[in-house]
Amino acid sequence: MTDPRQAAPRVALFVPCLTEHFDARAAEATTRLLLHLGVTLDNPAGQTCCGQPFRTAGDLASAAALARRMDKVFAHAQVVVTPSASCAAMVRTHSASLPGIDRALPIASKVVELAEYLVRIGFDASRVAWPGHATYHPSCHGRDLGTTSPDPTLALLAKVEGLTLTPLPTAAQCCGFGGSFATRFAAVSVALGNDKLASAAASGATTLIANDSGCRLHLRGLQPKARRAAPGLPTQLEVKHLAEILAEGLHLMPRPPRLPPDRATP
Amino acid sequence: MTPPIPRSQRPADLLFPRESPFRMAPRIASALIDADLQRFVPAATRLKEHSRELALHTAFGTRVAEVRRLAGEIRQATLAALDHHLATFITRAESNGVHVHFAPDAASARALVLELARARGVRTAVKAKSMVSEEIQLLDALLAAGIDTLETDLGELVLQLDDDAPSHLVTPMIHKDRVAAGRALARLDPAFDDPELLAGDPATVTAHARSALRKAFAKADLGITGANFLCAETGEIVLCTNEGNGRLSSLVGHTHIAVTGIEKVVPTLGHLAVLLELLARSATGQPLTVYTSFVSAPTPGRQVHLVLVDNGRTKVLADATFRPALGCIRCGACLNTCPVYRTVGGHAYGSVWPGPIGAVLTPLMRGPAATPDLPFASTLCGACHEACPVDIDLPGLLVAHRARAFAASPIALRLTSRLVRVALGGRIRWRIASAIARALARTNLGPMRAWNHAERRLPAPSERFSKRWRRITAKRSDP
Repeated sequence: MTDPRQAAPRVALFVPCLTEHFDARAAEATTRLLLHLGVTLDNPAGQTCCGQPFRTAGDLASAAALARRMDKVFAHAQVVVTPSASCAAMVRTHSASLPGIDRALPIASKVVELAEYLVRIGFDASRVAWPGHATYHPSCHGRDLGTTSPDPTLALLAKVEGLTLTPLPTAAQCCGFGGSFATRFAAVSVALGNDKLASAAASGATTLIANDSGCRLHLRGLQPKARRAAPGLPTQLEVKHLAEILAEGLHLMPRPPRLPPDRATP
Repeated sequence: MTPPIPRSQRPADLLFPRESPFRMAPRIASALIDADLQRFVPAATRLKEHSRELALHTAFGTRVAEVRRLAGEIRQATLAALDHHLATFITRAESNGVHVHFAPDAASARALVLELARARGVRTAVKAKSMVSEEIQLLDALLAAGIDTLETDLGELVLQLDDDAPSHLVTPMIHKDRVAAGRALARLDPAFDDPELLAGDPATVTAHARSALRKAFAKADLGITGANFLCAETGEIVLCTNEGNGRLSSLVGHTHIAVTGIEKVVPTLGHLAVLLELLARSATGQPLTVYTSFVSAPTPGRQVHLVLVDNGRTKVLADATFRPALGCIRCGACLNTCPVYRTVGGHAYGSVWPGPIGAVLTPLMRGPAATPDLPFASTLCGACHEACPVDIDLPGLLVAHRARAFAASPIALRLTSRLVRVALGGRIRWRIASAIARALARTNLGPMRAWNHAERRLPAPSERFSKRWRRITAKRSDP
């Protein structure tokens, strides 16, 4: 076993497809943070999709084929870090139960979610200064990763200088994304998302931290209406990834200015 | 004398939809605009979820998962040798003097109960809460046969009086409140038609309900109950209720008929103890139900009958993938924690079994073609598995249903899925597929139309990260 605490660990970045296309900033923050920490980082060019959408759609053979493909793409990596928990859970936990995959794929023991990795290498978040008031929506897939308690993201955020972290009362409830659920049961998906945003806003926070690429797509997509529907809600509720907080707080990336409340209303 | 019981037809199609395949969409749409449901169901389920977590933590501390695993192993090991345990139970129960009957399906179960009632000259009956009796539509059958039958669980009574159907396994009238309950109960006892009484303390309301129900108990010839567990070691029927109506129903008149599923057997009292530790805590957050009654032998002059219902269970038992679902002890914790159940309520599932366990069981009982939406009515968030006291991997079973649905889906759909997978199978193909997907994301076609709900838009695609990666790493390698 490689001790990841040793100097210049070699890490391969696993960029989920939604992150690649919709969340370049979260992935950039992840990259800048890891490079800043002295990690030797690789972004294997062959990576596409971990197979999760196929598994949840019931096309297990395709899910298995893509899981095996992922394993090959990351064959040379020692540690595979991804900024999205559900994709980590797919590779680490669910791929082993797919047809034709008798034992866990080697990649399963290599994949870690970013926050898990940062805690593992002993990253000191007290060096980060990010003044603001945030609440945190954990990915439901933390249940499959075993990161619900203690939650490494919360452990890191708790140390960030200047950050007021208010617990989200509905933290344990799904945001309603659920992959194809978001389109198949759009009305329920939207109702759950609005519920999450309302609860985040009621916490008094102005930033909602969410790390899962699916939740992020959904919650960001709901923003405009959440503002329209409830004018009382803070108009400046922004959805951020842990990596963005850390990278901005270490001045590795500029922190985007907040829109003044009147400008934020569409 | 109690006033006559309304005989109007209960809305059987709420739990037994006439249309096939059954589609959830219309019911979801009405649930989302049902102000009462939206007020009561999320609040009640969250409260119960909180009580459950607190009760389990208080009892087991950090060992909750361990206890759940143990309980799950007990259930699965029992199911693996169900024939043996069931035979042992039947032998013991019969030697205790209980008449045991077997019903292969709902119709034969109803016929059995009606025949027993006729043979015993039953004219009035009281009924305790039992999900299996809902499954076999027993109340309707009894009423249709002219047997004056009253539900004695307060929630079920309200539903009977309201011509409504249960929407939760444990708290059947979770979609109603005290005021609605009072309105319904006023038909049984005019005293309930009193706003002051209903606004008053719950103890007064329940005291009124109690006195109304006592009259029904007193004149009943027959008491009908379900069974939470059947103990093979002792041949006892175990009833868990909070209102004591299960125990009373088992004792009134000259006949007690218990109706339950064949999967309810536990091998010994020791195993039972583990499950009892979990049942009430998981259901309502109580350490134990207020009444936990053991029916062993009939008292002199009385008869106890047990109707063991199969109704599709042996079929599930024989299916290695889905057998674990029969381990369910009907605590309702998966309903309380499910984000979808919380939002749409129980009737949206069109089944006696709502929520995650219902989405798993109903397609097994009715056939997947009749219930195509159910396995997909979940975000697979995993909350149900985490809450399940007997460790049933409900999300995994939902995926297993989806896999069977996919295998049986039209060839065009399967081909499309395979084509997309092929497109994801190589760098160049992925680049082309990505370009198409990004273009599609800016339109309102196909899945985008469903995504772009009135209250949600797809965020605009960002720059592709792989491009940004090249910029970041190129800059860094500059001297």
